[in-house]
Amino acid sequence: MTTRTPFLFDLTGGRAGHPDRDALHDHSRDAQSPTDAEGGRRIEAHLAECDSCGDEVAFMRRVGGVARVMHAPMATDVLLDRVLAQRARGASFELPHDEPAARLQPRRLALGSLAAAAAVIAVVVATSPSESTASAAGGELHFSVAYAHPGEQVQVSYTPGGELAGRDSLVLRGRFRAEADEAYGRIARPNEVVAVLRPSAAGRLAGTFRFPESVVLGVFAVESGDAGVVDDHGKKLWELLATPPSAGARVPSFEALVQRSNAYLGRSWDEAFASTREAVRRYPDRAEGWQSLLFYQQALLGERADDSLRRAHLPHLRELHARMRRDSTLSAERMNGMFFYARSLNDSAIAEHWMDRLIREWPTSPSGIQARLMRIWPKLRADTAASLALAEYEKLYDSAVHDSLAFQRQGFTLVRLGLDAALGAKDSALATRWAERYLAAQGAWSDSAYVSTRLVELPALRASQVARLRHFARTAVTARLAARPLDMTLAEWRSELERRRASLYAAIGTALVAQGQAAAGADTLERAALTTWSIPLFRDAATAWSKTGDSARAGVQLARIAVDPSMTDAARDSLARAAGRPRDWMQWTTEARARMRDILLREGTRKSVRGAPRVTSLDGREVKLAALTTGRPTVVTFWSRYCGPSLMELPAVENLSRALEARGIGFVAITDETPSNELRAFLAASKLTFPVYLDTRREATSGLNNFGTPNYYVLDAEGIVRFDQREIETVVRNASLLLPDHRPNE
Amino acid sequence: VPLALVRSDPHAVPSETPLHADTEVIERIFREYGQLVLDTAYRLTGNVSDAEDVLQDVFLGLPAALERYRHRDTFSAWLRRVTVRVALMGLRRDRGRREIALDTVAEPIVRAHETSGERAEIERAIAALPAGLRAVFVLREVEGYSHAEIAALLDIREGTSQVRYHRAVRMLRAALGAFR
Repeated sequence: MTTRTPFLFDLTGGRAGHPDRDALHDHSRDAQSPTDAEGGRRIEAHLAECDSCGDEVAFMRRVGGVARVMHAPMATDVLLDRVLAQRARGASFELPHDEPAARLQPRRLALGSLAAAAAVIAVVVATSPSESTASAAGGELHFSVAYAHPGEQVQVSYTPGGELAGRDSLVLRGRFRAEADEAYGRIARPNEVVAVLRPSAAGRLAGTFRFPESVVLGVFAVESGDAGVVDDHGKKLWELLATPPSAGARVPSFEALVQRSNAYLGRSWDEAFASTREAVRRYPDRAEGWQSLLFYQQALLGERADDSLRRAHLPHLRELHARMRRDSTLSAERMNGMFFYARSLNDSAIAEHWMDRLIREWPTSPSGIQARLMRIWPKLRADTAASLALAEYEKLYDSAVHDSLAFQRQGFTLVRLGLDAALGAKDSALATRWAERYLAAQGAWSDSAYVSTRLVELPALRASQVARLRHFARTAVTARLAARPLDMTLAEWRSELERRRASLYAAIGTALVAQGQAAAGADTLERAALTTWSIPLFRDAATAWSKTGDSARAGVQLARIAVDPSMTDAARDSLARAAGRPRDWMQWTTEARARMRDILLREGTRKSVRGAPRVTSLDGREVKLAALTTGRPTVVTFWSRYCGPSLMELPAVENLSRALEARGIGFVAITDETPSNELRAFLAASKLTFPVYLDTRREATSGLNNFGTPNYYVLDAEGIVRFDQREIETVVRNASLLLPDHRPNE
Repeated sequence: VPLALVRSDPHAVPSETPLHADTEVIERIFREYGQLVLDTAYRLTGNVSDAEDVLQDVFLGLPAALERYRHRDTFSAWLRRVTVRVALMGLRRDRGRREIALDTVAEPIVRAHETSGERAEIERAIAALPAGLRAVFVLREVEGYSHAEIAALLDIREGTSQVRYHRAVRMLRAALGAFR
């Protein structure tokens, strides 16, 4: 990022009236950079008029874009072997310092030698995860500021609790969101070590870090040096929001509140909604905030409320429109906000106005590209051959690729669509080209692996992509270790990566079968099935073994499908017939059941409930949670009347409670409210038959370390949490595994 | 891997940790960051065999250099800067020998893997830049260094860096003349 103002007119060098070349080149690199939107706009305006400068910028963007993604051939094991061989011979190399010597601090670094690191790794690898409590750490973290200025030094103080107490050093890790980041998905800086905390006073540990310039929200977790214990603040994580540089008093910036809302979406609806309300309260001029508020309200109140919401919001929309349409210096984000706000309110005239303006004034900004994509979608709908889509994506790519920053966001949507369309058209040359573009926009390990799992679908590319997939499968765990999410221990992340590795083996196996190598393919599919329980995988392996004529191994796979609780009796009978070996079938299904139990329980967890939480029944009685859950496997769910996803899932929860009851599994629903007539009325109106308890003292929330709704906890008969999950679909299957004789099908 | 690296506790170090343990760590870092090092070096040196030499030097130097690694920024950013410096050491070492070649003769480019059409053409043009010009162009355009920083890195004057950058752009323009 450059610090100069990219709009110095050069009046001396024969280019009077043009921005000087440096400014143009800086602009080609940093266009849409939030640091100087005004200068950027003025250059954009000039570029619209001036062909020669426009040409220069287009040239630099294209060449610079290619330079930034220029890759050497793959760093293969041959290279590694060369390094290791040199090393074994005693070779070493004095690396230069990465900064002038004068600025190096004399203090010796906290981290030890490479050998020390190796020792730590060895310990981590050898330690298997053991039982812990649902919230094993439970410390307190404080920042020296309430809201941070970009680039500011922030002091951190941490009071450890539980398993993190008494350590010489702890690690603060963070995830940083930038203004452009979206809900869920891709985050600018997903996880990194922010500081090492060292003992200070009174049992506390302290450290400092610099709040990065380009981000608006940081969330943090503290962990032990070996990443064996993580304090994620009861899954909430600690957070630090940016404050606007110009503000007098420190207040959260609009962008920080928007990102906070994005960060909580999918984790805690309540928090996400609250953050949006706060954004609208503090920044009523921002259409993006109103649009987001409308989204939450619509989801919460349902279609019935559409008319009344429209009545409430339309005046805001019109007022903002009247005010902003006269403003000629609006950013792409502001225009985009108006477009989406109008669109959500079905005001097509205002929506079109802002979409036009966005496409006209910011054609290669992230939102500009998105708007252009949205404009061509309607005419692509009838395009079954995908040829029109491919042509349109090609045009769009050609005009948009010049801007690498825009590409990191919406370019990604575009290249994904292009790749899908090319694969749909089964055009391997085109698919290869789009894949190359895809990886130029997003070229991380996981993207490369994903692209290969797609390209391998095309016969012409199969052999080369199988070779690449083998490489990815080999490195699936080591290459991704550093990408560990903030709230996971190293051991948890390793087993997660092992599970993901299975999908790579599955892709290789399927491709081998398609290539006519049925036995090798079936073998690879079996390998995939070692760490994961997947019916499509078993089906593919069964088909592959039948092709080789090995009916015994095909039968084993069919038995695995048959024992899955999602199968009906009829399906199970037909699988048994298809296997055609009634004498072996019983043995196969018995083994399959044991295997399912092993694999799934390994995927689960093993945590005891902290303390002895009490909940309140609807009639005001206090009940120990343990009294409701011990003695038989029990599912505990948290839900909320104020959470959109919870409300949508309520009918499924009713079905779940009946299915569990039929299998002799307990069910407890907990909501975070105090008893009230409204709640009783709501429950009666919803016709729910299962018991609902209230977490009036929040003891259940803390005991199970719950954060957000809806969440499902599957407890075994001893009250140990064995599964901690968001998705409802597999709750019955998982709970059935804990029944004493484990008969998931009966 | 570096997560474990930056977290290691010196008090927990057994003094007689065997050599193969180091090897394991090098291997892990290589698996995760080898490509980054190779790509960074390749852009600066313009050919694969020099890039591989840079990678080898970087990895042979890592055991000692890790002691200097600070947590001010990410491990990958640090490693990238170190790689830039090693690659530039190579270029500077060759400068005496190839002073004339630097600004006049284009080096051949070895590229084993596939790229197509326009992008390949641009990559070839960048790789074919004289080493001194390419270094400035890549440092500015890809690694994001300012001219003042490039001047310090290459031991040249800031004005020289600017001039080289513009010459690189002009040469690319000329090489890619037909391209719009």
